[in-house]
Amino acid sequence: MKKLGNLSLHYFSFIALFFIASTFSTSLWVLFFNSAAGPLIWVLFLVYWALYRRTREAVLMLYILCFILSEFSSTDFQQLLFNLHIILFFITYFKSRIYWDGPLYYMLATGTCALLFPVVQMFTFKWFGGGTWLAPNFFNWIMGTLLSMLISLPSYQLFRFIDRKIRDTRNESMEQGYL
Amino acid sequence: MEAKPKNDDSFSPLVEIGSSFQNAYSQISTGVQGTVQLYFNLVNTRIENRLLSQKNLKLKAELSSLTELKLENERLNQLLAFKQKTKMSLLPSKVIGTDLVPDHYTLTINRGSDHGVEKNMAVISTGGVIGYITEVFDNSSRVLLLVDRYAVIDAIVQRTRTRGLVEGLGSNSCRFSYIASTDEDIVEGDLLVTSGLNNIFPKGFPIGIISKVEKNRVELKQYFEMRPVTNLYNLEEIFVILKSNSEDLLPKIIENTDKPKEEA
Repeated sequence: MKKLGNLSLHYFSFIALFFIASTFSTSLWVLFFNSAAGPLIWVLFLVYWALYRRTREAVLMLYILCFILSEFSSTDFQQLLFNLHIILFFITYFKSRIYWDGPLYYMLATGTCALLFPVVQMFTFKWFGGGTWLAPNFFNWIMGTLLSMLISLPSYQLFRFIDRKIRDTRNESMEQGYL
Repeated sequence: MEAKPKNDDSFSPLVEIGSSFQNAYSQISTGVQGTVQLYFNLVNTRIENRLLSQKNLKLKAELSSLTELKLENERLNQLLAFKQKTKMSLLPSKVIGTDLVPDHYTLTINRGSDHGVEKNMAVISTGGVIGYITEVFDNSSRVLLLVDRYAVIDAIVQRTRTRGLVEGLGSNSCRFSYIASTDEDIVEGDLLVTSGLNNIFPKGFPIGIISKVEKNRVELKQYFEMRPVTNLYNLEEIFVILKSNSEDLLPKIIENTDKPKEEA
């Protein structure tokens, strides 16, 4: 019962954190930095769960992230789901080929996915309705990637802190780097 | 009684030496006094300087705050004047958020169905068109900006009355397309305004200015790019048009015409 409670609390913590980060990104960020590109918050969460959780848990978190993300964006839900599945698939394959434990690896994985996401979005958008085909804004693309990588380091520490406090039993598996 | 005469001649060298020393001591004393006085003056000046600097900072902050209030007052007066001189039914709103995903251009405003907002209602500022409502919630709504890839607005060129569609190209530009004729006289600097179709936008409301014209004579194609008149990334107060009430802001073209022919 305690384990289930811890598990629920763990999921809830990440969901609440994502929700708060999203509201910050859509409101306060714009207030301070106007239309300047911001970090890709959802990539941070998705990459962490893809790297340090079982695949089924990562997929579950992906669906939850999509539901929340669709509330903060006009992007088609199906398109978002599809794109994030591609990112998850990529990061899982990436992890099976190259892996080492630590925040730098997490930063590298985050940067790669942040770079990949707009490209995936560009190629898949036609399958989900009309609209004008647009290449991603190059400057925003690069800035978004760099900012995501920058924020990934403190995010990693925060996520690890939550994991240690709420799901202690995971520590060993995470240090081994594979679940 | 007479004063005892002094024997001046015998003591004058001593007096001379003594007065020289006195003079020197006096000068030293004056110098020391001056230096001490200078030091105290500097200390006082420093304290005064610090106090004045603090006061200056405080006054600057107050001035900045007053300037901001003044600007807000001017802006609100402008909004009020705009609202009063139009027959449209307008709902003032505030921008509370933007889109989270890159390359999607939407805004979230603090008005929703509880305030009478419905889907596809037009959103404008005092300067021009901003977009239209795509999603409505109880106390908020999502506005699709005209520069978004999914945004389409019916428009006409104010000068020539050429009709077409404005489609978003992201960032800060749009495309003016689906023009009926391929040899329309549209040049850079032409103003695009709303056509008033479907009574969503008022007729003749500014959308943007043609910023680029490309004509391909071989394929008989024309390509027009447009820049919005409103700064879409610096919006504070905007209006949702609840009812346009057939507002027509298009300036009438005065033509020199012959007498109209009588119908048979």
